[in-house]
Amino acid sequence: MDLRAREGVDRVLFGCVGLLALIALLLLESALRGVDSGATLSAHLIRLGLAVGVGVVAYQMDHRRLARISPALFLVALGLSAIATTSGALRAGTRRWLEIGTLTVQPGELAKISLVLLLAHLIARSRHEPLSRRATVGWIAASGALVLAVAAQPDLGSAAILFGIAVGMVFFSGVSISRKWMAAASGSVVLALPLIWVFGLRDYQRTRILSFLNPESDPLGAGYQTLQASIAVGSGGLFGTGWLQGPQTSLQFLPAPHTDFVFAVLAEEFGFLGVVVVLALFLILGLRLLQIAVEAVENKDPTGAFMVGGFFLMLHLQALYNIAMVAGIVPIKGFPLPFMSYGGNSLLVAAAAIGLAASVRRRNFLT
Amino acid sequence: MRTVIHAEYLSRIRRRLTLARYPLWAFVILLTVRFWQLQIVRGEDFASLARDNYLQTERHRAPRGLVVDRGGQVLARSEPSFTLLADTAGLRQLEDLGLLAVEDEDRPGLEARAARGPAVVRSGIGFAEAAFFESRRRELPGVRVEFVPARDYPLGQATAHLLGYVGEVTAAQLLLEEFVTAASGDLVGQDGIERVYNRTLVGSDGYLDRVVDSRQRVLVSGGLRRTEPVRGETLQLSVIGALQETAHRAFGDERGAFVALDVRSGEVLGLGSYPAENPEDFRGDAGRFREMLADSATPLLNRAVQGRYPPGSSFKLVTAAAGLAEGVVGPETRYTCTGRARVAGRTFRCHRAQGHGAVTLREAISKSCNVFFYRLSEALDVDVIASYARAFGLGGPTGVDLRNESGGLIPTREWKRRVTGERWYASETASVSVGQGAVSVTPIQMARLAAAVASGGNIPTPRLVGTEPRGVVGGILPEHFEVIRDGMRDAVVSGTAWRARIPSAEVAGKTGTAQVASANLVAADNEDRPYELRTHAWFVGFAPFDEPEIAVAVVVEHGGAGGAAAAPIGGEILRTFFEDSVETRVVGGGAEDQ
Repeated sequence: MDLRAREGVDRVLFGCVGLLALIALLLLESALRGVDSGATLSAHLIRLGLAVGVGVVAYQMDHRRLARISPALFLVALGLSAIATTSGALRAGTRRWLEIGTLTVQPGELAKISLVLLLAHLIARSRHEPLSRRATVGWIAASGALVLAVAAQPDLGSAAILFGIAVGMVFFSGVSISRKWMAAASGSVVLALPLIWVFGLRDYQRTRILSFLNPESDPLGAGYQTLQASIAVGSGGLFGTGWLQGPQTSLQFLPAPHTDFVFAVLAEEFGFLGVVVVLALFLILGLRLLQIAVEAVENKDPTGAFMVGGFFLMLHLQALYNIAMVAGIVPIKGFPLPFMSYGGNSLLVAAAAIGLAASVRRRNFLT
Repeated sequence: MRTVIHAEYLSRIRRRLTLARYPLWAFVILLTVRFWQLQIVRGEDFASLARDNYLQTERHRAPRGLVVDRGGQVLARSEPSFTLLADTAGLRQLEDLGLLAVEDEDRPGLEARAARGPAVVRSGIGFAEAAFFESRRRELPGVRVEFVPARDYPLGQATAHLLGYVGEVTAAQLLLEEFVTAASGDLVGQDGIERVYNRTLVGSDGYLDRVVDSRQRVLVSGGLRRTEPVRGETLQLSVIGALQETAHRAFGDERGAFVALDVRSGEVLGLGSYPAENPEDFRGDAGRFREMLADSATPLLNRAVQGRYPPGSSFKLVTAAAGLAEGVVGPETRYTCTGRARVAGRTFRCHRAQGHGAVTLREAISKSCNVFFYRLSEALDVDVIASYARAFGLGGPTGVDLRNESGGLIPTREWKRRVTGERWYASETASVSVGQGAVSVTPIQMARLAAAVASGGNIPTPRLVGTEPRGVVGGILPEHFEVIRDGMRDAVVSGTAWRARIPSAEVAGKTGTAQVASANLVAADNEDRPYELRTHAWFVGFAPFDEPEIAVAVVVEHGGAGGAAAAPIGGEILRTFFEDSVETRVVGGGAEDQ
């Protein structure tokens, strides 16, 4: 397929995102009918409007300028994360949120995009060689501090995403991957796993992992969500039960249908065909982002390239994990599905990322 | 504008960014395959799991059918009542809340039943308690209240053994062929008519599907599958309610049993066993039930068909028939009673110390002279007596439509050799001839004997529902029966059974006073003996004399003399039949004809 629309607004990028957001409206309408948490579709529409605004502003920005102020931005995000960790609103046993008036800010989301910006800035500054010593130190310090702050909330899921972004961007930097590196990295992971299992995880986390491995072992306990999600997905069949017709969704057997499990609503009500459409949209979106990054490289704009590559990692690591979670192949983590889940923070951050990516692409043509 | 960047470095970055496509493709394909597997390959499994989530079936119990007597009087009916049921999880929930008021001994059984599906924890709970559990459906998902029509018996103790009782089907019973249609938690007949005709009475439950959400709130309960419960069929018995009540009153605190049969058809007109417990009093009360099982008065035993008693002098009807048919004695044959007789080296006494003088068979029956029968026994072999007893249906089940009927025992030479290894002594034949020794029979067998004598040799099959073909006693001529019947009439008119006399019909009967221990070992006066060594009192009879309609057998356990204890009860039963139940006394009619 031809992903190179050379001029004007990027139709592929905005087309994919727009379609995902539209489909999300259908899913949320269905999901929110049964949810009595105060979440409403109009609230989502307002956030969607805000997100479009954020995207437009980001589209107008010069990403290189933004990169230069990224260390300050990062420090703000790190500070907010630290505040959330120590004194944020306690919800479901973790502190991930800051409440400012009626507004709930999730520093974790801000942390993700600011990490992408900072790392793009740091790595691009090396110019001639992949990852200078200075950049390496900055990379380790920044991502290490942020990962630890988020993990302590505890939000291991977001910490893992941040870690994934950091590692992925190092990969993009072109640093040579020696066998020694690989061995050391994988070796330390293998050694760390049992230690993390014993010391690093809380009971509920261990239960969650175990119940993921065998959901039927405790169908009313920790395995409940996995099992109910699988039932929702599986009963969708080829064509789905039809919009608003999914019993798992409408009768509230599906947990968190408007946030973490919005994809299960899709699978139940629109079936395998709906799943394929949305997976294809995420695939096209990912390919498009990588395409933009490659074009930025061709245009000698490594900052833009790393930035867009980082956005790809940020959006797609979350999206693929979320969908894999709905499919029951990874343990349940509280990730939103970008562009689709109910919730303002992730929507605004995703919109900013898309706006910036489009901005990078536009500037590629201008020069 | 910007510093020069190595082209080689840039191409490296470019390569890395390009490489990232492949894991993206790989993950998307992996996920597609996984969703294919979940939605297409295993779709139906999950769809059925989804239905299990939201579709609940509510069962509406069908009321059991009515049981009515010959005249349509209701003997058993189903009254509205609430029942508390719980599955295994539900039992735990009740226990945690301290609401599981069940005795320790009953726990294993309850848990076994609960493991197979919701089991009855308490039945007959009040409206307030039902409302309490119903409003806590969400907190107690394993517990539910069902509207189960409870069984009610208007005549109570008077029909207790006849009707039996209903109870929750046990885990073991679920495996039985007779309960093949029952499900855990069902109430089934556990004894008596309730059990024998369970399939007629059960009816079919109704079902109502409803849609519930994850909090078990009912969203839709209609427009889906719906079957109405169908009440079980009404079962009409041949018994007469008034007879049951009369007998129950007449027995008072005595233990014993009675059976009344329609002479011509064999239909059971009345059947009772005492002591009796009204099933309503032990319904759902396992503790009370255990007490009854342990009670030495055995209130759960249906003595009418399960009680085995020596028949005593009432057995003389058989010995007389054997003597006449074998030609040993004739109507005019006289034996002289001096109050005692020596048979095969043993001395036997008559109940009248001064003797009856020279008596005929007819007189021997009416006065219950033992010596006549001792003399007669000298000319009859025990095996001959046994063959006539068998022909009259003694010593074996009658085939009545009740469960666990006993056979009893008619001794023979072969039987004694098998059991004791010893030969038969002639003196033992003397004992058998007056219904003592090893002879044991059930009241229903004796009622049938009375019917056979009354009808001149027809052996009906006693039935509570419908009729069965009857048998005939061979080899006994009508004039033989006439002699015996005349003796029985005399017994009522002027002999031992005079207390069975009633004004409304001419009654014929025979009393019996059966020893339970050798007379030499116990006090001569019955009243001086311990209760369990006192004699059993018998009365068997029929009426009216000329055209017999009803035959009756009464046994009063350890009641003393037959004439004093049993004959009056027999008379009461017959009086009720002829005086108080005229409209139901349909001559020759069966339940079906009405």
